Amino acid sequence: VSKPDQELIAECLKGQTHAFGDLVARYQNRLYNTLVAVLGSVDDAHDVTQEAFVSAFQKLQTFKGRSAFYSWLFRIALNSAASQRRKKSRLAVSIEATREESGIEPVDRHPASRPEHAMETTERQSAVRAALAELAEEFRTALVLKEMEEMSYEQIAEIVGCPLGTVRSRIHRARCELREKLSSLLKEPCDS
Amino acid sequence: MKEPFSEEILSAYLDGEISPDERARVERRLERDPRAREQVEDFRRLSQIFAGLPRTELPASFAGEVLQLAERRMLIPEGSVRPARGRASRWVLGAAASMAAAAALLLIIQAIAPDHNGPAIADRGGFPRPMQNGRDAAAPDIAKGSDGAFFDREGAGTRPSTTAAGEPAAAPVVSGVGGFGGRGGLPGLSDGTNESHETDPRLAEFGEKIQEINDSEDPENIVSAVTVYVVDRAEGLVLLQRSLEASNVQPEGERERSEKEKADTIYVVAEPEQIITAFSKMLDREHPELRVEVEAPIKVATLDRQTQQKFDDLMRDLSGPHAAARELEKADIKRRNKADDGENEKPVVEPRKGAAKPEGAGELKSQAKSAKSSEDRRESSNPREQAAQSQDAPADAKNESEGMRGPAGAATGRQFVGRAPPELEQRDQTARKNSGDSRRSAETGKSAARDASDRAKDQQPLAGNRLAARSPLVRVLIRVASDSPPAPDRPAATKSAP
Repeated sequence: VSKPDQELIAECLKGQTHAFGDLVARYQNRLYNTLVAVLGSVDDAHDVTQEAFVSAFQKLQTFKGRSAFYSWLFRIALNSAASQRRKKSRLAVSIEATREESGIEPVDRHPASRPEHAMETTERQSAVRAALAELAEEFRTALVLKEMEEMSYEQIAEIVGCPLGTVRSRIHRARCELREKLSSLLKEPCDS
Repeated sequence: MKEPFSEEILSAYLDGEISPDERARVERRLERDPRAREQVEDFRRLSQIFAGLPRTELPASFAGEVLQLAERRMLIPEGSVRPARGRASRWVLGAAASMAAAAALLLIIQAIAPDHNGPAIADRGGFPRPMQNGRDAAAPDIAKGSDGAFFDREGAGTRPSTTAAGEPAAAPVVSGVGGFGGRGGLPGLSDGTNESHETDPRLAEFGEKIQEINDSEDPENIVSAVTVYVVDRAEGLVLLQRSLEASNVQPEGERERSEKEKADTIYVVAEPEQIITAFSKMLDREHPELRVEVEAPIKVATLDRQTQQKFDDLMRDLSGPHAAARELEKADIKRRNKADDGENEKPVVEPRKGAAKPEGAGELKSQAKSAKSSEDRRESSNPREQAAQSQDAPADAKNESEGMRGPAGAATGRQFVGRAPPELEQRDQTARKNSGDSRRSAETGKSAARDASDRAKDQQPLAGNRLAARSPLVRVLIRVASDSPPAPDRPAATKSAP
């Protein structure tokens, strides 16, 4: 039976470091994959994930438990990501560039499907990532937290630090922009 | 009747983030509006595409890497730091090395260090652990180094971290080399990581602002204003830009500013420690053209050369070879300092008997006292004496802290030396003395540069520890002002820059 986050945090603060290791193991993939979508780079996502956990460890005593640990962690990650992003020049975004940048080898979740289908899926995913990368950062973050993390508007508002109405607006605008960018893709018959 | 309808509600409808009334309204709309239906359908398909995006799993070793990196960040063993990924390590090491000189400066004014509520240091595999007697037994033995007194002082007397029975304190904390800095857990910068602004009064106010920012947990953060006075505007701007860039703090253009603001300000967004590092470097390099001021009441100044020389002389005196005479003085000074504590500030530092009291020593006595205290602790090999010093330390620190931070400190125009050499001179002197060479070298000041690499090595734990924590970004507006006629309460020394 896995322990609740708060219990692991308490243990960690008492000096049981392995408890924090459990927290890392619990959230590492979730955080990492969301950051891949937000940052568009597996390398950056890896670095930021690592940095976020290290920072969280170092600041653990400041965690008040007012929000979920993951929300708090994600806020730290967003700050780390923003810091890292500012250090790098903005990358030109294209579908190909995004594919190369991300280094993602998409997994065909339908192994029985034909090869052409796999290729189409890969292209679709790449197109989505590229379109996502073109969104304004605040729109992208809000949408990714909604779509990939399935967070509520309230959770998103807490993480990004803006009013609920702003979250609603950002998500809608992000969807509208994506819809426009991916219009041809959306017209294709849906088989996913 | 036509219902008011915002398209945003369609997204909220899809996400189940609307009230029953709104839901009914959307559904009525969808029944009669094919465009709305199409939009919702597209949004739904987008969600499906997101759901189909591939997910990657990090290796099982990731958690271990994180813990290792966290541990290294806190401990930074000398000479060997290689976090799991190169980028982070390069940053840490590079910054650690660059901070070494600034760290030396901090030792001069160590008495400014506020009461420490900092973290427990951890041994291998268990870093956030409670401390014992205010100091972790397994902490790296950095206190034995030349800077030991500083750590010793901070670590020994002032941190409430365990009860007498060895029970953990209410708020066990996680990092720090048993040392300086953190004022009761300044998030991100505390925990022994922010010695710069905690010990450097020039950055203390700035550090407090950053603490407020962090405490607020406001991701939008706050714009703090720092004024950099420049003697020559063009040259000062270039120096400022370079100083910031050297710490990877890049000017930003995101904030809306008026034309006048654009002409008079530099807007930067970076991690607090980066900004503090930039200012530390700026001060450490002692550009005569730059003077940093972090709002009232702290006034920051570089010293003019004459005053600097006096200070250097004083420091040389204090670190001279007449140890026996100084031993006699110590008791006297301590006694007087205690008396002064009762009278509120004005710590006393007397030069060695027989040495001429340098002019201007009065206004520098706080630093001198700090330095002397540091030296006293370093040189003392008597455990009883060390204990006595440790007991004195908190009161000293408090006294100094209040004096430096408060308006009174500003009003008296206290000045602080923006460079490392005096402390390094002490080291040089001590080294010479130990090797039987008590000759005072006229080259003492220059030896600082020669020993730069040694310094970096010596102080790597200190610098590295400072960089151990990351914090939210801080948006700082740096005002650039011409340093023409000084304000009445501004130290006169600031004007004398060449």
